[in-house]
Amino acid sequence: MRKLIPFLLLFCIAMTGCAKTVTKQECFPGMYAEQPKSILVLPPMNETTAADAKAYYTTTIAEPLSYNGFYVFPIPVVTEIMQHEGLYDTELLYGMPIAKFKEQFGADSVLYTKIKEWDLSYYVIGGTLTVGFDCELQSTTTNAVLWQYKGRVVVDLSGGSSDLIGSIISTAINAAISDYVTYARVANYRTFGTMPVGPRNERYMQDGQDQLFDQRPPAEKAAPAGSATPVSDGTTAQ
Amino acid sequence: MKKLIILFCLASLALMTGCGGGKQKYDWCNYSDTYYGVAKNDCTETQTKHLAELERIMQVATEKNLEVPPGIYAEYGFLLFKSGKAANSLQWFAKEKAQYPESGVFMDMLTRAAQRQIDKDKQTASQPAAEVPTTEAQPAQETAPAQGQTQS
Repeated sequence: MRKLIPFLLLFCIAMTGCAKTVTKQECFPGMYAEQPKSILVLPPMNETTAADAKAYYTTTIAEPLSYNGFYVFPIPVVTEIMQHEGLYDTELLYGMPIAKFKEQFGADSVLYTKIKEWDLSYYVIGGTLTVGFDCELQSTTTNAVLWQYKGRVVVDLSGGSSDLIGSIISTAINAAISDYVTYARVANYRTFGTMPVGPRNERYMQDGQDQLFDQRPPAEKAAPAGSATPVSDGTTAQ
Repeated sequence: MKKLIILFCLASLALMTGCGGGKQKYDWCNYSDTYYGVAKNDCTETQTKHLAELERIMQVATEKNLEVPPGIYAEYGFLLFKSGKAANSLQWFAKEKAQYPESGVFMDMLTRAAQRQIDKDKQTASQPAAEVPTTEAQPAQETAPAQGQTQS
């Protein structure tokens, strides 16, 4: 339990931090104006050297989006159909006119994602998974960017047990591949916490005044700087 | 401990986004894990596991009186379709469309593809070789879901 305390403290600092806050409505007015009901998730562009990042992302993304209240098109089915159409190349997909996705799938919006960073670091005790996303939710009717996120999420991989040997063992266990699915899911949950919720969430159209850390302009400037970017975990500031 | 931390993360996140007040809407079970298995190594073993997980998600939803998450019915139907059971797939596409009208355009497309396959199977009356549907719009066949019901 003692291990939780620094984590809690960090969390509090992150929440009360000096970041400026802004409401969801101010940040993403398009979401409230257009009120998209469904999201078609395209395979991410992987700009990292971690070959697995793409699979981790696609297999864990539907869940948080569904809880956010949107209809999420079944990703494996959509992916396979597009591949059958010869659209293996993600770049090709990203270059397609967005209206196509409305016409053929009936999607209200399309989620484009670039994975900027996918780093695993191990310390003597535990380690962290750092994920950097650059996401854009675009409307299929107006082409407008309805929601976007640029930032990094750091997930603690440490087992958190108090004895050193136990921690080392648990780190080794954590390295089992299936476990990263859990961490990828946590990263996705944090990333998509800033998105105004959709019609299948009970807070639909009521979250406009929720406070967010205003990461728009600074994040946009800082994003290309890579490792120098300050950690912004994208959680809402309520 | 690790679980505790993850739980804590999720719980605090839920609290902060404010949706924690209500009850759980879906249960995705181990969807991510079995899907990852397929994405990583697409073979009969991982596919069977994933298909079984889809069945479990539907079963758990009934047991806990939750909604089946978006896309599950459609994915299940699509896997049946790919394994040559086009006639069986139709009811799942219809279920997806009934629960999630947002999927209508897409489900109609899949239904048309399955219907074409069924017609083809009838003609050849040989072993079905599932054809993956194309996204080519076919506006002439808007009544495809209804046909699907009668065929199955």
